[in-house]
Amino acid sequence: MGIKNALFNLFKKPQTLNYPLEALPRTPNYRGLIEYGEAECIYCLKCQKACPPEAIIFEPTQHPTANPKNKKSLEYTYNSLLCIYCGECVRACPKPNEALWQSDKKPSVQTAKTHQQKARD
Amino acid sequence: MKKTIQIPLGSQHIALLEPIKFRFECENEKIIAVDSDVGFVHRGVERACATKFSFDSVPYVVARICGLCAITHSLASTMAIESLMEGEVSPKANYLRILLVELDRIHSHLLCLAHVSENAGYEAMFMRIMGDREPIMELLELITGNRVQFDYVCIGGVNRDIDSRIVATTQTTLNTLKSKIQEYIAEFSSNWSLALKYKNIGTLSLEDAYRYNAIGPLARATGLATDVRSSSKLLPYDEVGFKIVVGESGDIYARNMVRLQEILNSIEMCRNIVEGLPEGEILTPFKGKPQGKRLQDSKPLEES
Repeated sequence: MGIKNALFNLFKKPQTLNYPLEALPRTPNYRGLIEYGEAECIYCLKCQKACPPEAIIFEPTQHPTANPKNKKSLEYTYNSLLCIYCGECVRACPKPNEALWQSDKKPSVQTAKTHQQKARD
Repeated sequence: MKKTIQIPLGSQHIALLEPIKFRFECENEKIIAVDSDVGFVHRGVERACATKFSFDSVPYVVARICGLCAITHSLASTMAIESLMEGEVSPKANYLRILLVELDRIHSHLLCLAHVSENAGYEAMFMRIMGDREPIMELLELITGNRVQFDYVCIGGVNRDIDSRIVATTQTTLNTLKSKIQEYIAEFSSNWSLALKYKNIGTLSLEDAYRYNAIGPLARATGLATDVRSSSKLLPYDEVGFKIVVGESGDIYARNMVRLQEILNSIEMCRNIVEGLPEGEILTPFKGKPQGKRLQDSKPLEES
Protein backbone atom coordinates (compact mmCIF):
# COMPACT_ATOMS: atom_id res chain seq x y z
CA MET A 1 0.00 0.00 0.00
CA GLY A 2 2.64 2.50 1.09
CA ILE A 3 5.15 1.50 -1.62
CA LYS A 4 2.45 1.63 -4.29
CA ASN A 5 1.46 5.12 -3.23
CA ALA A 6 5.07 6.30 -3.10
CA LEU A 7 5.76 5.07 -6.64
CA PHE A 8 2.49 6.51 -7.91
CA ASN A 9 3.30 9.88 -6.36
CA LEU A 10 6.64 10.04 -8.19
CA PHE A 11 4.88 10.31 -11.52
CA LYS A 12 1.94 12.42 -10.45
CA LYS A 13 1.41 16.08 -11.21
CA PRO A 14 1.80 18.29 -8.13
CA GLN A 15 -1.42 19.20 -6.32
CA THR A 16 -0.31 22.77 -5.71
CA LEU A 17 -0.55 25.66 -8.15
CA ASN A 18 2.42 27.67 -9.35
CA TYR A 19 0.60 30.66 -7.94
CA PRO A 20 2.13 33.98 -8.90
CA LEU A 21 2.96 32.70 -12.38
CA GLU A 22 -0.35 30.94 -12.90
CA ALA A 23 -3.60 32.69 -12.15
CA LEU A 24 -5.84 31.13 -9.51
CA PRO A 25 -9.02 29.60 -10.91
CA ARG A 26 -11.96 31.75 -9.93
CA THR A 27 -15.29 30.19 -9.08
CA PRO A 28 -18.38 31.52 -10.86
CA ASN A 29 -19.85 32.52 -7.50
CA TYR A 30 -16.85 34.65 -6.60
CA ARG A 31 -17.63 37.34 -4.05
CA GLY A 32 -15.97 40.39 -5.54
CA LEU A 33 -16.09 44.13 -5.36
CA ILE A 34 -19.37 45.92 -4.62
CA GLU A 35 -20.13 48.29 -7.50
CA TYR A 36 -22.39 51.29 -7.52
CA GLY A 37 -24.49 52.90 -10.21
CA GLU A 38 -25.01 56.50 -9.16
CA ALA A 39 -27.65 57.34 -11.76
CA GLU A 40 -30.06 54.63 -10.52
CA CYS A 41 -29.53 55.18 -6.79
CA ILE A 42 -32.54 56.52 -4.89
CA TYR A 43 -30.54 57.40 -1.76
CA CYS A 44 -32.65 55.30 0.62
CA LEU A 45 -29.49 54.51 2.66
CA LYS A 46 -30.59 50.90 3.20
CA CYS A 47 -27.18 49.60 2.14
CA GLN A 48 -25.47 51.79 4.70
CA LYS A 49 -27.71 50.43 7.47
CA ALA A 50 -27.24 46.80 6.35
CA CYS A 51 -23.45 46.91 6.04
CA PRO A 52 -21.91 45.08 9.06
CA PRO A 53 -18.44 46.72 9.01
CA GLU A 54 -19.71 50.15 7.85
CA ALA A 55 -17.81 49.98 4.60
CA ILE A 56 -20.55 51.92 2.78
CA ILE A 57 -21.13 55.40 4.14
CA PHE A 58 -23.05 58.26 2.56
CA GLU A 59 -21.12 61.36 3.50
CA PRO A 60 -22.36 64.94 3.22
CA THR A 61 -20.65 66.76 0.39
CA GLN A 62 -20.41 70.32 -0.92
CA HIS A 63 -20.62 69.16 -4.54
CA PRO A 64 -23.61 66.81 -4.86
CA THR A 65 -24.33 64.89 -8.03
CA ALA A 66 -27.04 65.82 -10.49
CA ASN A 67 -29.27 62.93 -9.34
CA PRO A 68 -32.62 64.49 -8.32
CA LYS A 69 -33.13 61.85 -5.59
CA ASN A 70 -30.08 63.12 -3.77
CA LYS A 71 -31.93 65.72 -1.68
CA LYS A 72 -29.56 65.75 1.28
CA SER A 73 -26.47 66.23 -0.95
CA LEU A 74 -24.74 63.01 0.04
CA GLU A 75 -21.84 61.19 -1.57
CA TYR A 76 -21.45 57.41 -1.71
CA THR A 77 -18.13 56.26 -0.25
CA TYR A 78 -17.11 52.64 -0.30
CA ASN A 79 -14.09 51.27 1.53
CA SER A 80 -13.04 48.02 -0.14
CA LEU A 81 -10.51 47.34 2.63
CA LEU A 82 -13.22 47.31 5.30
CA CYS A 83 -15.72 45.41 3.17
CA ILE A 84 -16.24 41.73 4.04
CA TYR A 85 -18.01 41.03 0.69
CA CYS A 86 -21.00 39.43 2.38
CA GLY A 87 -23.49 41.00 -0.04
CA GLU A 88 -25.90 42.25 2.64
CA CYS A 89 -26.01 45.68 0.95
CA VAL A 90 -27.04 44.18 -2.40
CA ARG A 91 -29.79 42.15 -0.72
CA ALA A 92 -30.98 45.27 1.09
CA CYS A 93 -30.96 47.40 -2.05
CA PRO A 94 -34.42 48.05 -3.57
CA LYS A 95 -32.84 48.23 -7.05
CA PRO A 96 -30.22 45.48 -7.13
CA ASN A 97 -28.16 45.07 -10.33
CA GLU A 98 -28.91 48.69 -11.25
CA ALA A 99 -27.85 50.78 -8.27
CA LEU A 100 -25.70 48.27 -6.39
CA TRP A 101 -24.32 44.91 -7.42
CA GLN A 102 -21.57 42.45 -6.58
CA SER A 103 -19.09 42.05 -9.43
CA ASP A 104 -16.39 39.42 -9.86
CA LYS A 105 -13.61 42.01 -9.78
CA LYS A 106 -10.89 42.03 -7.18
CA PRO A 107 -10.35 45.17 -5.10
CA SER A 108 -7.27 47.10 -6.09
CA VAL A 109 -5.11 47.63 -3.06
CA GLN A 110 -3.31 50.67 -4.45
CA THR A 111 -6.30 52.88 -5.02
CA ALA A 112 -8.33 51.93 -1.94
CA LYS A 113 -8.32 54.86 0.42
CA THR A 114 -9.54 54.89 3.96
CA HIS A 115 -11.91 57.54 5.20
CA GLN A 116 -9.13 59.18 7.17
CA GLN A 117 -6.91 59.43 4.10
CA LYS A 118 -9.77 60.94 2.12
CA ALA A 119 -10.36 63.49 4.82
CA ARG A 120 -6.68 64.43 4.76
CA ASP A 121 -6.59 64.96 0.97
CA MET B 1 13.65 15.01 48.09
CA LYS B 2 11.45 16.04 45.23
CA LYS B 3 11.56 13.52 42.46
CA THR B 4 9.83 15.50 39.71
CA ILE B 5 10.93 18.51 37.71
CA GLN B 6 8.70 21.27 36.46
CA ILE B 7 9.09 22.49 32.90
CA PRO B 8 7.28 25.69 31.95
CA LEU B 9 6.25 26.24 28.35
CA GLY B 10 4.76 29.48 27.12
CA SER B 11 2.99 31.82 27.25
CA GLN B 12 5.12 32.80 24.24
CA HIS B 13 6.93 29.89 22.66
CA ILE B 14 8.17 29.23 19.17
CA ALA B 15 6.30 25.92 18.96
CA LEU B 16 2.97 27.39 20.01
CA LEU B 17 0.61 28.85 17.47
CA GLU B 18 -1.30 30.90 19.97
CA PRO B 19 -0.39 32.21 23.42
CA ILE B 20 -1.07 29.48 25.96
CA LYS B 21 0.87 28.52 29.07
CA PHE B 22 1.71 24.98 30.24
CA ARG B 23 3.56 23.75 33.29
CA PHE B 24 4.62 20.14 32.84
CA GLU B 25 5.37 17.99 35.86
CA CYS B 26 7.94 15.48 34.64
CA GLU B 27 9.38 12.35 36.13
CA ASN B 28 12.44 11.67 34.00
CA GLU B 29 11.03 11.42 30.48
CA LYS B 30 7.44 10.92 31.52
CA ILE B 31 4.95 13.74 31.89
CA ILE B 32 2.83 12.96 34.93
CA ALA B 33 0.83 16.17 35.26
CA VAL B 34 0.19 19.32 33.32
CA ASP B 35 -1.20 22.66 34.33
CA SER B 36 -2.52 24.99 31.65
CA ASP B 37 -3.58 28.59 31.38
CA VAL B 38 -5.37 29.71 28.26
CA GLY B 39 -6.50 33.20 29.17
CA PHE B 40 -4.01 35.22 27.17
CA VAL B 41 -6.13 36.30 24.24
CA HIS B 42 -8.99 38.66 24.69
CA ARG B 43 -10.44 40.06 21.51
CA GLY B 44 -13.47 41.74 22.99
CA VAL B 45 -15.93 40.12 20.59
CA GLU B 46 -18.76 39.98 23.15
CA ARG B 47 -18.41 43.62 24.05
CA ALA B 48 -18.23 44.62 20.39
CA CYS B 49 -21.36 42.61 19.59
CA ALA B 50 -23.21 44.20 22.50
CA THR B 51 -22.23 47.79 21.78
CA LYS B 52 -20.91 48.43 18.29
CA PHE B 53 -22.99 46.23 16.00
CA SER B 54 -26.69 45.93 15.37
CA PHE B 55 -28.32 42.54 15.95
CA ASP B 56 -28.36 41.56 12.28
CA SER B 57 -24.61 42.16 11.93
CA VAL B 58 -23.71 39.99 14.93
CA PRO B 59 -23.64 36.68 12.94
CA TYR B 60 -21.02 38.20 10.65
CA VAL B 61 -18.92 39.35 13.61
CA VAL B 62 -18.97 36.07 15.52
CA ALA B 63 -18.18 34.15 12.32
CA ARG B 64 -14.75 35.75 12.53
CA ILE B 65 -13.93 34.21 15.92
CA CYS B 66 -12.63 31.09 14.19
CA GLY B 67 -11.76 30.49 10.57
CA LEU B 68 -12.17 26.71 10.66
CA CYS B 69 -15.66 26.63 12.11
CA ALA B 70 -16.94 29.87 10.60
CA ILE B 71 -20.36 28.43 9.88
CA THR B 72 -21.07 27.05 13.36
CA HIS B 73 -20.64 30.33 15.19
CA SER B 74 -22.72 32.33 12.74
CA LEU B 75 -25.37 29.59 12.61
CA ALA B 76 -25.65 29.43 16.39
CA SER B 77 -26.02 33.18 16.79
CA THR B 78 -28.43 33.42 13.85
CA MET B 79 -30.65 30.71 15.32
CA ALA B 80 -30.53 32.38 18.72
CA ILE B 81 -31.67 35.67 17.18
CA GLU B 82 -34.35 33.91 15.13
CA SER B 83 -35.78 32.28 18.24
CA LEU B 84 -36.33 35.78 19.65
CA MET B 85 -38.14 36.96 16.52
CA GLU B 86 -41.34 35.99 14.80
CA GLY B 87 -41.06 34.03 11.60
CA GLU B 88 -40.11 30.65 10.31
CA VAL B 89 -37.16 29.46 8.27
CA SER B 90 -38.15 27.48 5.18
CA PRO B 91 -37.33 23.72 5.11
CA LYS B 92 -35.03 24.22 2.14
CA ALA B 93 -32.94 26.79 4.02
CA ASN B 94 -32.70 24.41 6.97
CA TYR B 95 -31.42 21.62 4.73
CA LEU B 96 -28.89 23.95 3.12
CA ARG B 97 -27.71 24.95 6.58
CA ILE B 98 -27.17 21.29 7.47
CA LEU B 99 -25.31 20.78 4.18
CA LEU B 100 -22.89 23.59 5.01
CA VAL B 101 -22.39 22.48 8.60
CA GLU B 102 -21.66 18.93 7.53
CA LEU B 103 -19.24 19.97 4.77
CA ASP B 104 -17.53 22.15 7.36
CA ARG B 105 -17.38 19.17 9.72
CA ILE B 106 -15.79 17.02 6.99
CA HIS B 107 -12.97 19.47 6.31
CA SER B 108 -12.43 20.18 10.00
CA HIS B 109 -12.19 16.48 10.86
CA LEU B 110 -9.82 15.91 7.92
CA LEU B 111 -7.60 18.74 9.18
CA CYS B 112 -7.58 17.19 12.63
CA LEU B 113 -6.71 13.73 11.29
CA ALA B 114 -3.94 15.25 9.17
CA HIS B 115 -2.38 16.89 12.21
CA VAL B 116 -2.77 13.74 14.28
CA SER B 117 -0.82 11.77 11.68
CA GLU B 118 1.75 14.56 11.42
CA ASN B 119 2.32 14.43 15.18
CA ALA B 120 2.80 10.67 14.90
CA GLY B 121 5.70 11.39 12.57
CA TYR B 122 3.83 10.35 9.42
CA GLU B 123 4.22 13.45 7.27
CA ALA B 124 3.29 11.73 4.02
CA MET B 125 -0.14 10.97 5.45
CA PHE B 126 -0.50 14.63 6.43
CA MET B 127 0.14 15.62 2.82
CA ARG B 128 -2.32 13.06 1.49
CA ILE B 129 -5.13 14.07 3.81
CA MET B 130 -4.58 17.77 3.23
CA GLY B 131 -4.61 17.11 -0.52
CA ASP B 132 -7.93 15.31 -0.20
CA ARG B 133 -9.33 18.08 1.96
CA GLU B 134 -8.80 20.59 -0.83
CA PRO B 135 -11.78 19.48 -3.02
CA ILE B 136 -14.06 20.04 -0.01
CA MET B 137 -12.71 23.55 0.42
CA GLU B 138 -13.28 24.16 -3.30
CA LEU B 139 -16.81 22.83 -2.95
CA LEU B 140 -17.45 25.22 -0.08
CA GLU B 141 -16.09 28.04 -2.23
CA LEU B 142 -18.40 27.02 -5.05
CA ILE B 143 -21.44 27.06 -2.75
CA THR B 144 -20.68 30.16 -0.68
CA GLY B 145 -18.27 32.14 -2.84
CA ASN B 146 -15.47 32.08 -0.28
CA ARG B 147 -13.00 29.49 0.94
CA VAL B 148 -13.00 30.29 4.61
CA GLN B 149 -15.36 33.02 5.77
CA PHE B 150 -18.58 31.67 4.33
CA ASP B 151 -21.08 34.33 5.47
CA TYR B 152 -23.70 31.88 4.22
CA VAL B 153 -26.28 31.98 7.00
CA CYS B 154 -28.39 35.08 7.52
CA ILE B 155 -31.41 35.83 9.64
CA GLY B 156 -34.33 34.17 7.87
CA GLY B 157 -32.46 31.59 5.83
CA VAL B 158 -29.35 31.37 3.72
CA ASN B 159 -27.74 33.78 1.28
CA ARG B 160 -27.21 31.62 -1.78
CA ASP B 161 -29.05 28.85 -3.54
CA ILE B 162 -27.47 25.78 -5.12
CA ASP B 163 -28.04 24.83 -8.75
CA SER B 164 -27.74 21.58 -10.71
CA ARG B 165 -24.06 22.19 -11.48
CA ILE B 166 -23.21 22.47 -7.78
CA VAL B 167 -25.24 19.33 -7.05
CA ALA B 168 -23.27 17.38 -9.68
CA THR B 169 -19.92 18.64 -8.35
CA THR B 170 -20.95 17.79 -4.78
CA GLN B 171 -21.85 14.24 -5.75
CA THR B 172 -18.61 13.54 -7.62
CA THR B 173 -16.47 15.15 -4.89
CA LEU B 174 -18.18 13.20 -2.12
CA ASN B 175 -17.96 9.92 -4.06
CA THR B 176 -14.20 10.34 -4.50
CA LEU B 177 -13.81 11.31 -0.86
CA LYS B 178 -15.75 8.30 0.34
CA SER B 179 -13.34 5.83 -1.27
CA LYS B 180 -10.40 7.78 0.19
CA ILE B 181 -11.95 7.63 3.67
CA GLN B 182 -12.25 3.85 3.36
CA GLU B 183 -8.51 3.78 2.64
CA TYR B 184 -7.84 6.01 5.62
CA ILE B 185 -9.84 3.77 7.91
CA ALA B 186 -7.67 0.82 6.84
CA GLU B 187 -4.55 2.93 7.31
CA PHE B 188 -5.54 4.38 10.68
CA SER B 189 -6.44 0.94 12.05
CA SER B 190 -3.50 -1.09 10.74
CA ASN B 191 -0.53 1.23 10.24
CA TRP B 192 2.02 1.02 13.07
CA SER B 193 2.60 4.78 13.38
CA LEU B 194 -1.05 5.62 13.48
CA ALA B 195 -2.78 2.69 15.14
CA LEU B 196 -0.44 0.94 17.54
CA LYS B 197 1.29 4.11 18.67
CA TYR B 198 -2.02 5.71 19.53
CA LYS B 199 -3.72 2.83 21.32
CA ASN B 200 -4.03 3.44 25.08
CA ILE B 201 -2.51 6.92 24.75
CA GLY B 202 -4.31 9.94 26.14
CA THR B 203 -7.18 7.89 27.49
CA LEU B 204 -10.19 9.71 28.85
CA SER B 205 -12.47 7.49 30.86
CA LEU B 206 -16.23 7.54 30.50
CA GLU B 207 -16.64 8.81 34.08
CA ASP B 208 -14.19 11.66 33.51
CA ALA B 209 -15.86 12.60 30.24
CA TYR B 210 -19.19 12.74 32.06
CA ARG B 211 -17.80 14.64 35.05
CA TYR B 212 -15.89 17.26 33.04
CA ASN B 213 -18.70 17.72 30.50
CA ALA B 214 -16.65 16.63 27.52
CA ILE B 215 -18.29 17.20 24.14
CA GLY B 216 -17.67 16.36 20.52
CA PRO B 217 -15.61 13.42 19.21
CA LEU B 218 -13.59 13.51 22.44
CA ALA B 219 -16.68 12.55 24.46
CA ARG B 220 -18.12 10.16 21.88
CA ALA B 221 -14.82 8.23 21.72
CA THR B 222 -15.24 7.35 25.39
CA GLY B 223 -18.68 5.88 24.78
CA LEU B 224 -20.66 8.88 25.98
CA ALA B 225 -23.47 9.25 23.47
CA THR B 226 -23.74 13.03 23.46
CA ASP B 227 -24.30 14.98 20.27
CA VAL B 228 -26.00 18.31 19.84
CA ARG B 229 -27.30 17.11 16.50
CA SER B 230 -29.44 14.46 18.16
CA SER B 231 -30.22 16.21 21.43
CA SER B 232 -31.57 19.46 19.95
CA LYS B 233 -34.39 19.56 17.45
CA LEU B 234 -33.46 22.92 15.96
CA LEU B 235 -32.34 21.46 12.63
CA PRO B 236 -34.05 18.45 10.97
CA TYR B 237 -31.12 16.08 11.45
CA ASP B 238 -33.31 13.00 11.89
CA GLU B 239 -34.67 13.47 8.34
CA VAL B 240 -31.29 13.41 6.58
CA GLY B 241 -29.93 10.16 7.97
CA PHE B 242 -27.93 11.23 11.01
CA LYS B 243 -26.46 8.36 13.02
CA ILE B 244 -24.57 8.94 16.23
CA VAL B 245 -21.06 7.46 16.20
CA VAL B 246 -19.77 6.22 19.54
CA GLY B 247 -16.36 4.75 20.32
CA GLU B 248 -15.28 2.58 23.21
CA SER B 249 -11.78 3.00 24.54
CA GLY B 250 -11.49 6.79 24.78
CA ASP B 251 -7.89 6.95 23.54
CA ILE B 252 -6.50 8.78 20.52
CA TYR B 253 -7.10 5.72 18.34
CA ALA B 254 -10.79 5.71 19.25
CA ARG B 255 -11.06 9.45 18.56
CA ASN B 256 -9.56 8.98 15.10
CA MET B 257 -12.02 6.19 14.37
CA VAL B 258 -14.96 8.30 15.60
CA ARG B 259 -13.86 11.16 13.35
CA LEU B 260 -13.48 8.89 10.30
CA GLN B 261 -16.87 7.27 10.85
CA GLU B 262 -18.44 10.71 11.34
CA ILE B 263 -17.01 11.84 8.01
CA LEU B 264 -18.67 8.84 6.36
CA ASN B 265 -21.96 9.72 8.04
CA SER B 266 -21.60 13.37 7.00
CA ILE B 267 -20.96 12.34 3.39
CA GLU B 268 -24.13 10.26 3.51
CA MET B 269 -26.11 13.19 4.92
CA CYS B 270 -24.77 15.65 2.33
CA ARG B 271 -25.72 13.25 -0.48
CA ASN B 272 -29.21 12.81 0.92
CA ILE B 273 -29.61 16.59 1.13
CA VAL B 274 -28.46 17.42 -2.41
CA GLU B 275 -30.51 14.57 -3.88
CA GLY B 276 -33.74 15.32 -2.07
CA LEU B 277 -33.62 19.08 -1.69
CA PRO B 278 -37.20 20.44 -1.62
CA GLU B 279 -38.35 23.37 -3.73
CA GLY B 280 -38.95 26.65 -2.00
CA GLU B 281 -37.62 29.97 -0.88
CA ILE B 282 -34.17 30.15 0.66
CA LEU B 283 -34.85 33.39 2.50
CA THR B 284 -37.95 34.28 4.51
CA PRO B 285 -37.86 37.84 5.78
CA PHE B 286 -38.03 38.33 9.55
CA LYS B 287 -39.64 41.61 10.47
CA GLY B 288 -38.91 43.78 13.44
CA LYS B 289 -36.39 43.46 16.21
CA PRO B 290 -35.76 40.52 18.58
CA GLN B 291 -37.76 40.45 21.80
CA GLY B 292 -35.87 40.28 25.08
CA LYS B 293 -36.24 38.10 28.17
CA ARG B 294 -35.73 34.87 26.27
CA LEU B 295 -33.01 33.62 28.61
CA GLN B 296 -35.38 33.48 31.56
CA ASP B 297 -37.85 31.04 30.07
CA SER B 298 -35.39 28.93 28.11
CA LYS B 299 -35.07 25.33 29.16
CA PRO B 300 -31.86 23.31 29.33
CA LEU B 301 -31.38 20.67 26.66
CA GLU B 302 -32.88 17.33 27.53
CA GLU B 303 -30.56 14.61 28.83
CA SER B 304 -29.34 12.23 26.15
